[in-house]
Amino acid sequence: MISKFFNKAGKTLLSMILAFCVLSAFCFFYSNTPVHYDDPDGATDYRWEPKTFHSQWTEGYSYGLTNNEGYYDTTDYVEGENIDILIMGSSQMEASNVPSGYSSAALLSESLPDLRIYDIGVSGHYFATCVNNFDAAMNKYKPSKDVVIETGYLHFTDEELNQMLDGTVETIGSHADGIIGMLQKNPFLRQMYYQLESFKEIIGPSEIKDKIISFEKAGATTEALVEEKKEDNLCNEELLRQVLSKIKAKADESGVQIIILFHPTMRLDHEGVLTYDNTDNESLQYARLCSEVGIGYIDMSERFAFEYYENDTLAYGFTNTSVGLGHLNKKGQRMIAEELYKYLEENK
Amino acid sequence: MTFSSVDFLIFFSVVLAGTAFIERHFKQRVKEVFLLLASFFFYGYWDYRFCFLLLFVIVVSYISAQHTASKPAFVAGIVVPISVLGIFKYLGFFMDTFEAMIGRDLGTLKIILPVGISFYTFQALSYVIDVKRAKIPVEKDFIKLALYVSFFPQLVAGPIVRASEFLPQLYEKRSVNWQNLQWGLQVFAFGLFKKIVLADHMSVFVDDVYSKPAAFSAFTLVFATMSYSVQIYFDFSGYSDMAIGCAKCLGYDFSRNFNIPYMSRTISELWRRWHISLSTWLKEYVYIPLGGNRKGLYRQCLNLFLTMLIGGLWHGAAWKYVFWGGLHGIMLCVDKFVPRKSENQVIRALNIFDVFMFNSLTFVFFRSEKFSDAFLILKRIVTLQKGINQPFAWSFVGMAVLLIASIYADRKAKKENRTLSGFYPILDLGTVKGMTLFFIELGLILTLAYTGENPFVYFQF
Repeated sequence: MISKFFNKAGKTLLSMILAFCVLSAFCFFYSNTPVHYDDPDGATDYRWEPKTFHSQWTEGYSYGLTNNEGYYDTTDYVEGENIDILIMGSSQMEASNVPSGYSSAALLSESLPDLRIYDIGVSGHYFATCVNNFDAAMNKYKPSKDVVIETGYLHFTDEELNQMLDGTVETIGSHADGIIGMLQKNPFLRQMYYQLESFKEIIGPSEIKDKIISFEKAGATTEALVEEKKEDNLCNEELLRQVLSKIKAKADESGVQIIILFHPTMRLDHEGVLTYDNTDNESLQYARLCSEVGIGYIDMSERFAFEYYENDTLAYGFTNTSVGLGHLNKKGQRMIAEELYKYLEENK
Repeated sequence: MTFSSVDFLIFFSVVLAGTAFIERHFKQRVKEVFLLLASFFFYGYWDYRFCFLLLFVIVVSYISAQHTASKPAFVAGIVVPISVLGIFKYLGFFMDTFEAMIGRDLGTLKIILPVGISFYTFQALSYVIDVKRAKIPVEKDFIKLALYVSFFPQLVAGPIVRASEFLPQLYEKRSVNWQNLQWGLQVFAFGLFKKIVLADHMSVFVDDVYSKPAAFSAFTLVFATMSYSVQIYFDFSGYSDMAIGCAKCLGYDFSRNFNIPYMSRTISELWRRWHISLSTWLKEYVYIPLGGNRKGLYRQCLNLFLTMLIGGLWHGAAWKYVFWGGLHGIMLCVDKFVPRKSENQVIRALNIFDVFMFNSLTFVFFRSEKFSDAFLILKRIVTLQKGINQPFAWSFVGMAVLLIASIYADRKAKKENRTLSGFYPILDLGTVKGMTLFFIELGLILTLAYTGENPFVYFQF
């Protein structure tokens, strides 16, 4: 009886180990995000593990190696080298959803082979985080020509703007040490973690019930949202001016031009009409204040709209996700590279 | 709680453990009461008020079946469940239609739609009718009857289990044991994979297209149309598999509800393979009483058409479902005039493809929010409109899985010289190989599961 139990337990354990190995191998190619470590220089809150294989098949398709610093830039950074253009931003600039070499930074480099372009875009680094890390990034990389700061959002509360001014924006922590750090290195366990975090947000019984009961009205709900008149959600003008002046002052120490690149979140309504989450006035506020302070501003709204209406092309979404939502796809990255190139050429 | 939720996992674990314990230490009656309470708890988890309605239907069916010799009692056993269904599911629909006809707003009541009402009322009806027809003996044990109607694995989205199939099992010694668990858990996992990996991922694309049909190209609209056919198959058959698996874990057997429907060569065959519990219910309780095929070919066609109209209406309180049912009714009639018996493999493949495409195109009405959307989609397809092209990867995966599984089942049937029939790929969990493959399957389900919101499609019915 006891030996039978141990025999069964042994078989079960062996099966679990074999299955774990197979699943780990699967996730190595399916969804493998490196561990992240604190950035000692402070140019970003964190960096990925250097020279580590990464893959992404959950949203888009990509795989590659992080560079020697742990960024997704396809080039290695040589300490002290001259950087012409530094790119800062979030996962949109990191471009972890498109194959290596298709990021806007890489495409821009192809168009400007004489310039050294370096991309330190990292997942989670929104505009506020980039502003928070701006001084450290400038001190570390000392770009000589331009700094591009990408943003997908325009509205910040007074509290957030004040944090940007104080340098107290909440930083993204790393958990690279100990058992947690070790467990993160296994792609299957990491994927399980992501899945469980997502599952936690799955709606509970009462909400499902409401959804079932109003199942047939789901389409009407979407239409109602689109029909609502969007109201301007402007930032506090004075605080935003101060934030922009602050980073401009730092850039002026090195004679560097800042370019803020805004790419709006888009939606398609039932009739296929393209709308943006922000209003025109929200973007105009940024354009006006950037001009006042002496910062370049690129708004991708017109370009995105043009590509959609002329070429049925959307800047976001992939063949394994929702159309028009999520991260910039290859075409979106190319649009951004082209607009940046155009701006740089016009403002030489 | 849905089968793919953590709540259900906890609930089922408790019920399974509780049932196993009770079987070993208490009488059968205690087990029945435990399962009945568990079923009402499961149903009440959605909304406790639903339990009163369910109990009411059970009590009426119980009393009616005891007195089927009395016409009023028998009629009550039919009219009451149908009325309950009519009020809670169709009153709003009929009132809206009436208001549209007279051009006035009469201010209808907002009535909540109890989950599973279409399923358990049909089960209750079939029981009363079968007792009246002397097909089954009257069930004098109220607990057993209540358990039959309310048994949680099939309560909210089927299969529609016949009393003749389930009630006798309650008199047999059925138990939670290793063999049943081995089979049941694997079938459950199989269904879970179909639902939360394949169906839910495909729904992202289908929902996108159907929410903004004017944005997409003709190619994408056709692809989405086909994707929906595959999505709804995985969703509903996945749910049915989970229900069958749960029941098996507890020691009870349900018949399968889907049998490789997309290998059908005719619409008639499709309805013998798709949602089998509903199609056999409609055949026995609507089609045959209408006269079936006993009154000539034209009357048969009329009976088929009417049966499918009712079948369409069962799916939802909207004219689009009736229209969808009507289209299938027409094709069932066409089948009678255009027999398809060729054994030529190419012709067979073409027949299978055109049944699939017909089914997919009728699903455009089924899935669209409104008639106008359905016609817009069909118009854009026919006029080859340009728009966004979206070759959605998960749809290809789903179709590939379906195609490979269907071809495999077909080859297996030919090799074994029997009629084409689906089967569950059950592994021997007593071996390292079997267990490893099962753990890999579970791991893949967790890794690949779609983690957005997606209720079961057939919950709305």
